[in-house]
Amino acid sequence: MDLKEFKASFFPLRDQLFRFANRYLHHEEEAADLVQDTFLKLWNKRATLDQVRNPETFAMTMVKNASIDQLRKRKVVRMEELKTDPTSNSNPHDRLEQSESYSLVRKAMDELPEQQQTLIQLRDIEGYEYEEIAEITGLTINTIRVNISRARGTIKSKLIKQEENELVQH
Amino acid sequence: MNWYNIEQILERYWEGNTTIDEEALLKKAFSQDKVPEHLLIYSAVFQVLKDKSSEKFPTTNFENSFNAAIETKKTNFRISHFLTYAAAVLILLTSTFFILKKPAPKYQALTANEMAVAQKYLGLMATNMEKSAAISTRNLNKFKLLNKGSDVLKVYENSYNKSMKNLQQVEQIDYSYKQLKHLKSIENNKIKS
Repeated sequence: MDLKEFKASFFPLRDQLFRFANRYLHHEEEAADLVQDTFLKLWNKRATLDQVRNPETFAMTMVKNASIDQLRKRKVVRMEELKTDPTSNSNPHDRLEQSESYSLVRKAMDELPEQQQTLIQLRDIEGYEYEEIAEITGLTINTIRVNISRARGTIKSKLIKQEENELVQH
Repeated sequence: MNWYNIEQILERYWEGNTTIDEEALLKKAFSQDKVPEHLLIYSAVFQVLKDKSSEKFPTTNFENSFNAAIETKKTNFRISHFLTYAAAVLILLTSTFFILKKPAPKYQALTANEMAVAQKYLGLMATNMEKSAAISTRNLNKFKLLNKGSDVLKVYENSYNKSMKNLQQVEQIDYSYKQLKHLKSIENNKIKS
């Protein structure tokens, strides 16, 4: 695989690789460095990349493993508080982002068990098929389905609970 | 937008039984302004997912960084190879220098007495060497004579062996002659009788 082919195959993945690394590291700078390192590692493996069945899941798996290694080095997993400042966002959904529901969903997602967060990231944010998620995570498809369902259920029930509380208060 | 259909899909979404396409449809539906009131609370879910999926790699000049990184790696690789070779050559040259370099002889002037003693012993050594040479020559001559004697002995031995063979032949002839004589006497006796 030459440089041109490599760039065409892997460069479009940089944002999702970054998001996936950040999902583990909760640190944008570290996640960006990790992704750059991953690209260099992939480049060094360019001679054998043609034999890889799915380069995208291969790259995601590399990012996952590197992120876990980095977390081990840190020893303490830092669970950063929600950084989002809804008032600074200027997209068309300003109103929604400023809402309590939006904050609650973000918080609920960040409070999910690590495995469920990873699975929601891969399915609902990156849009991977269950088979691809199984390849990346090493989990069975059934486990993935069950955990995704649980994660979504948790978020849903928190939203409903919040709505009920609001109704009671009014 | 068929919200009845969307609601059905949404129910399956919570249970984890939707396809990627159906999930994309949900994201699209909930990103619209006109979401039915009773479903509005779920808009936040799809808005958060959409926002999370829009997070970008922070470096804008990613390609340049990557190009620079692989170039640096190549250069580092070349430099490291050059340094390896340079180190090997340096070690080789240093080793050769120390191997070839012999310590310079240190001469020290001898005193008169030391010189006399040295001369005396050198003289004795020379005399002894001459004597040894003479003895060796004499022994060598003796050895040569012995060799010659040995050669002569071999000649005599050969002559003796030959003579012995001849003698044996003579003895055989003599025995045959006696046998013949005996047979003749028997024959004569027979004639006489």
